[in-house]
Amino acid sequence: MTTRRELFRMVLGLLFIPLAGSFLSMLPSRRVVRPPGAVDEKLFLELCTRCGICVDACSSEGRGTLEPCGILDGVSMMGTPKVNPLRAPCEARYGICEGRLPCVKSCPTGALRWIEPEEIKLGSVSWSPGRCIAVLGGECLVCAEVCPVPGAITPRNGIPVFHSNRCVGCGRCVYACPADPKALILMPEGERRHHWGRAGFSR
Amino acid sequence: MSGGISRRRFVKLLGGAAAAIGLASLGYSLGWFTAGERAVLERSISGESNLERPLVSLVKGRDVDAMVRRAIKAIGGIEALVSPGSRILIKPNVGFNRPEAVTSPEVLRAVIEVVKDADPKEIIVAESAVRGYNTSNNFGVTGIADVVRGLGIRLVDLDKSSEIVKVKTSGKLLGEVSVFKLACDADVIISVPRLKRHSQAIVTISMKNMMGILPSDQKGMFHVLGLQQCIADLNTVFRPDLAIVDATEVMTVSGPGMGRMVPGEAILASRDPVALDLIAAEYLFRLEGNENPLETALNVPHIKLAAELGIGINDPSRIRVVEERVS
Repeated sequence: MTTRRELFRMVLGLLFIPLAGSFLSMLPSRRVVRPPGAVDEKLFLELCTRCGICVDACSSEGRGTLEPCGILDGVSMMGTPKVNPLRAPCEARYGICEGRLPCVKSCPTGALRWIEPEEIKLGSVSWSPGRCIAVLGGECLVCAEVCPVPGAITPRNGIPVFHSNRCVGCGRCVYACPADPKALILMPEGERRHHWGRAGFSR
Repeated sequence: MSGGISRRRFVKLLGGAAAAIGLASLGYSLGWFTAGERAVLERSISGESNLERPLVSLVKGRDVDAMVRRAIKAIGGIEALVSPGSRILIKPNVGFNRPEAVTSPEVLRAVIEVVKDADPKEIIVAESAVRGYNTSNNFGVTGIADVVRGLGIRLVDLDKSSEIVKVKTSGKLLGEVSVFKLACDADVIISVPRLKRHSQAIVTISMKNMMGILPSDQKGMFHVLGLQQCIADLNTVFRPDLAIVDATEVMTVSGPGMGRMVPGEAILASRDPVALDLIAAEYLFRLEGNENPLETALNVPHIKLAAELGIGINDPSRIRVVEERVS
């Protein structure tokens, strides 16, 4: 025998399920850095089946930079691949995957498509001077040291200067930054993605 | 309340447990339980190479093999250092995947061949690359792997050897340093760097090269603590017993990844890493067209700090430089 109070609770609980669902999908999704050769974001989300094969292909090359997006990246993003330079840098340009792109080659749906090495730009780094050891007076220019792109990070008076137009977004500097918390974040700003329906790239 | 526990007893138990956990964590942080878990090793520097008047050889020429042999001969020969049956660690600089930024394979080959002649028990060539670079890949694309394996020598990517130990230093900033165990096991350490500029350390020669025996996090920590002092501190325990500098092609102006390559056509060697780094740095600054190359070299902080810690001699009047030319 259910009391009136119990019935009331059950109805409330049932109401909560669709409410929670719509609430979660309304959560803003984060902009993440996609693997090289990803198509435009809207098409990417349709084509990517969240199979995780590219993530496995990436980790078979070493530590692997790719990981599936979690719930914090947005409900619609969950399971899609993202570049996490805290795990490892992306080796697609100036690295062990250059010209091979195991992630792209493994993609079964065309969400990732072939891209020539010199076309790769995953994004660019964003610098927080307040966390930077060099700005705080330390002996550090590790970001400039590990950067494989000529002229992307140039030291000036012992402090790094970032040229985001040259940055390919490999994330080596983010990975190597010894500051805690890191003074660098990899952002999709300036990323080069395959266009929807025609050849060429969007910026 | 028969059978169960009273509220008072429960609260007491809870309090007791909390106190025990608190005490245990306090004990841990104070280092009461350190014995087996956080063993800190001590390493003594082998060889009586702390000469009052160190010898540095500077051999110029084009024939790398002859230059390396001559340079080692001029400082007393390999037999003085490598006794049959000793374990040798050769530490080249293979921090990057660009051939101009690493020790040239020809120089490394010549060094290995000289060391082999002394009939040691074991020779290992090992490196851990700059953070963000894959050491094994560096070995492959720079041609180091072909040369080392071709000579039948064990080549170790330290990043893949998981064993890390802590070693006490007698430096000023670094109390103890985490290193790959392989470096501790060696009787003789031979540092074989390429002569390069370095954006933070000013130069990267035989002492800076020793950072390649550190795991990634420890490398980063050096920059947080103070790079120059940490390099000197590291060399109080991991002082190269012999160092041979590849100055055939020198990276000037900027580095360590990219810089202006200038032909140096020289090999330098010494058993005193401080004296060697000083003379090699002077050589580099002279190639750059610096008007006071020696003074600039004397002002490189880690060379100065290493001398203060007694790692070697940085007084130019006490260093004997043997200059030769091999045609």
